[in-house]
Parts: sequence; structure tokens; C-alpha cells
Amino acid sequence: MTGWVLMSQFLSGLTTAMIYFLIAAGLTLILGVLKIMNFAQGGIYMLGAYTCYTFIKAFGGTNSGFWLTLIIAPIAVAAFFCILEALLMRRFYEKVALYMLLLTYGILIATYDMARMIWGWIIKTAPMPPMFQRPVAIFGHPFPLYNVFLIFMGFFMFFLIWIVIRKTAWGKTMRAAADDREMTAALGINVPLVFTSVFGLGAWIAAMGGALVAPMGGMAADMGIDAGIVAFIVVVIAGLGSLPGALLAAFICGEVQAFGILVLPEFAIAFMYLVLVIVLIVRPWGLFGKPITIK
Amino acid sequence: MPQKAKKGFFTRNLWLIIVVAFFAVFPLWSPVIWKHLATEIFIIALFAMSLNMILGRGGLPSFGHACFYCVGGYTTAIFTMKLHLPFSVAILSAPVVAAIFAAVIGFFSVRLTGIHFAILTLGFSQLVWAVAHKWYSFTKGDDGITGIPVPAGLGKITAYYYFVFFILIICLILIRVIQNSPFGNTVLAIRENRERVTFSGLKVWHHLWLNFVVAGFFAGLAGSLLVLLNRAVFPDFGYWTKSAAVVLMCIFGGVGVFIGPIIGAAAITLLEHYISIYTFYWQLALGCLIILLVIALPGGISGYIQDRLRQREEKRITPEVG
Repeated sequence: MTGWVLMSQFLSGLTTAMIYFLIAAGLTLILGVLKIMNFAQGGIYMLGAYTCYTFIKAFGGTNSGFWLTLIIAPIAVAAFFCILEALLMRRFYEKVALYMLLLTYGILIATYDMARMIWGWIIKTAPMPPMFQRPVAIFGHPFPLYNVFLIFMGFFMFFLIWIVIRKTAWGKTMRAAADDREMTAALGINVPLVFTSVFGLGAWIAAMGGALVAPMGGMAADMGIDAGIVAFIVVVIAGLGSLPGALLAAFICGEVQAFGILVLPEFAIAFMYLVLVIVLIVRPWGLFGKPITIK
Repeated sequence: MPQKAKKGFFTRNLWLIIVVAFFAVFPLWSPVIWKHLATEIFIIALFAMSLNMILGRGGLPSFGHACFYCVGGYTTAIFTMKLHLPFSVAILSAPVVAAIFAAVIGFFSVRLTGIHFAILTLGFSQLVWAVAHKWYSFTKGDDGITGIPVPAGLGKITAYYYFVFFILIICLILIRVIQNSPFGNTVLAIRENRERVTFSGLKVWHHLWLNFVVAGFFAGLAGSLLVLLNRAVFPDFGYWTKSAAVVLMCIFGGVGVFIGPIIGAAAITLLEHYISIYTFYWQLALGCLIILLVIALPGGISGYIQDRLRQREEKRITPEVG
């Protein structure tokens, strides 16, 4: 029995970790390439969840409707934020970091009220697609099938992003622009366009995270503000801009929280912050990051 | 000659004297709600001024300043409610405890700059928030600590108004003196050119650290004053949105001008108060305001006014030169 308790705790921790990873992956990508701390990431995640809710409802809660939603909803949200990036953020990359922080914070709180205006103040729950409405047996114990799907999707997204960044021409351009903007521009590459596409990709990942979370539980407008800070913690533990680091850090945060509940239920959330501060003191540049110049 | 110099002082500071005189007689005719709002603005103005020591003078984007505000508030609350210490001890210890927190956090943070500094301060402040939020036996968690007693003399809002007003003026004079001292000028020089200050043999991070600690001190005092105004303290005093809000106030008012943060604090607090009367969607209005501000007025309100005044001055001077 105790073995199963630990196992189920581990699995639920892994589910949480995958959600954290999906929120953080887009943030770390944007941070790594665009060198901006995007506070709006949590808002994108929240909009992803709400858009998914709307589409699932529109398609009548069927299985095929769910798959269609997973394709359409994140792309719709990402497209919206691409436009926002091109209109607002593009002109601030070269300016002081502070303006960018404020701008993304402004976008975050604006999306928060936008969601309340469009979808109302009441907590919404998207219907679970019929094919996932049953548990699977793991070592003879029932476990929600959707959670298994979510864990799979987490790893799938990781490999997808990794392949895009490492193996495609687009990814190479991205990394080049991250290393040296001027040189990349001198080679005839349209750097602003690359940046918009990276921002769009980051938004797409976060919106996908939101869409995947939508059938799991209630959604409220302030989930974006809380998710934003979780993503931030994961990214800082990971080291700014590191994708494998984000997966590991999300795993640590998810599991620390899942097992923390067993030990000290009162402090479950604080454990994550404890990991953060230990990392900040021992390795301020994160697990996978490069040491920052210390003066 | 001394007479002329004295006259010069009054004409130069005419606006300052008018404003101080206005707020000194303000409670005599205003309703309670206004007095309450004005007191709150004074406190938030002090908070914003303390952040501007790091943000405007030091040039470091701190995104965890609410941490010290929160620590100051909790110090006063816990000292009076749990330890039953006298009021004077509770209010005086708040800035000191906040300064100790600032010393620890600053020790790790001030070696970094730009976005890394923002992230580190944000991380530490979130840890403080998490502890305040979760440590039920000590901080009462998200219920907050309520019903904090205030001595009978300060119980009335008018008395408390004058108390806060007096403290604010003292603090503003102190901050002004610090900023104009050799120490304050060194901090400014570090902002302008870190390398050159290093080469001139000064310890850059010692100055920034001390500056950070002093800023934490004033933020702690502001937190303590707000707790005594509301008679309650909640963990959300230290949540990261609070830190972002105060950064916004500084930018909105203008970081480059001494009274900029005060203007920003007053403008944002008043806007919040009056917009939320008309609509539930105050955050949307604020979000749009931030976007407009960053695009149209990067120098803040006071920066804009200062630029305009300078332009007018130049226009007036040019014909004479020509």
C-alpha cells in the first residue's frame, strides 16, 4: 500500500511537472533568444485555457472536437500575441530592460481583465473528452488516463521544441540571432521577423499548456498570475534559456511539491521557493545556465 | 546680502511651501474618506521614494521591493500582537528588521545588473511571501493579522494623518540629504559609468549594497505605517504584483526627478480609487495605461514636464544669445 502511495504521489508530481514545464518552456525560449523576461507568459497560458474551453464547447465536447481544439486554440492565441509583439514590443528590445518588464506586466494584467470581461467571473470547467473519461490500471491501481496523456504530451512537446531548435534551419537562425543580433542581421536575415516567430513559438507552447490543462479542473482569470510566477521559478532554477534545464527544474518542482504534501502539508508551495533560494545562493545562474559575470 | 539670499530661498521653494502648507491644513475641512486616502498616498509615496533610491539613483530594476514593505508590516504586527511590545518599539523596529532583510538579499543581488538583478530580487521576495503565506503558527497565513492596536492618541484619522505627514517630511529630507551627499553622488556615478567608478578605486558593490539597505529601511517604515493605518497585514503586501505596481509608480511619475515617485504614487492611487468606482475592470485600464506610458512617456509625468520647461527656457534664452 505504501509503495502505491509513493508511486501515485510520484505520478501526480510528474503530471504537475509537465504543466510547469509547458508554462516555463516558452518563457525560457523567449528569455534565451529575445533576452526579455516575459511576465505576460502566464496570461498567454490562461488565455490558452479559456480559448480551449470555448472551442471544446463549440465542437460539442466530442473526441474529434478535442483534437481539433488542441490544434486551433494554441495557434489562435499565438497569432494574437505575434501581432502584439510586432505592434508593441518590437521597438523596445534595444532599450532599458525595465521598460520591457513593465510592458509585459501591463499586457499580463490587461489579459487578466480581458478574460474576466469575455468569460465572466465564475470558475469555468471544460468538459473532459469522452475517450479520456476512464482510468487506466498502473500496477493494478486506477490512475486517470488524461494524466497519462498529459505526461506523454509534456515529453512530446519537449522533443518537438528540442528538434525545432537544434535540427531545423529556423532553429539555427534563432540561435544565431540570440548570440549576435547585429551579425545575423548583417548576413541578410530579417531579425525582427525571427524574433516575432520566436515569440509566437513561445506563446504557442504556453497556450498549448493552458489548452491541455483546461479539461483537468476549474479555470479562473488569476491562474495566469500564479502560473507566471511558477514559470519564473522553474526558469530561474533551470538557468535562463536552458530547455533541458527547464524540464529538470519542472520535474524537481513538481515532485518536491507532491512529496512535500506528504511530509509537511502546510508548506507544500513554500518547498518550491526553498529550492529556488537554495539554487539562487549556491548557483545564482541556475542548474544549466552559464555563470553570470559577478563584479 | 543675507537678506537677499533668504528671499531667494522663499521664491525658489514657493511651490514646495504652498504644497506643504496645503497638506498641513488639508484635514481641517476634508471628509474622513479623503483624509484616509491622503494618508495612504503619503505612505505609498514613501514606499515609492525608497524604491527610487535603487531604481532611479542606482539604476537597478528591483522587482522585489514589496518584500521589505511586507517585512516592515509584519514586524510591527507581530511585535504588538504576539510579543506585546510597546508601540514605539514596534514601529521603530520595523525599518530595522526590513533593513536586515535588505542586507541579506542585497548581499546576493547587488553584484548583478539588469534583468538578472530583477530576477534575483523577485525570487527572494517571493520566498518571503511564501513563508508569510504558509507559516500559519507565526504569521497566520493568508488570514493575515488583524485588529492591531494603535495608541489612543493616534486612533483618530486626523491625528494619524499628521503623524504620517510628519514622518514623510522627515524621511524626504533624509533621502534628499543622502542623495546629495558624496555617497549619493557615488551611487549616481555608478549608474552612469560603473567601470569608471571601479577604476577610480571605489568599491562599487559596497555603495550599492548600502544604498539597497537604506532603501529597504524606508520601505519597512512605509509598510509599518500602512499596517497601522489599516490595522491589518496580509501576505499579499509582499506578492510580486505589489512590487511591479510600485515600479510602475516610479516610472509613471518619472525616475529622474526627486519628487517623481511621489507624483506617480499619488496619480496611480487616485486613478485606482476613481476608476474602480466606475468599472470592475480597473486592471484592464491600468494595463492599457502602462502600455501607453511606456510608448508615449518614457520619462514619466515629471520627466515630461521637466523637458517642456527646459525647452521653454532654451527658447527664452536663444534670442538673447543670437
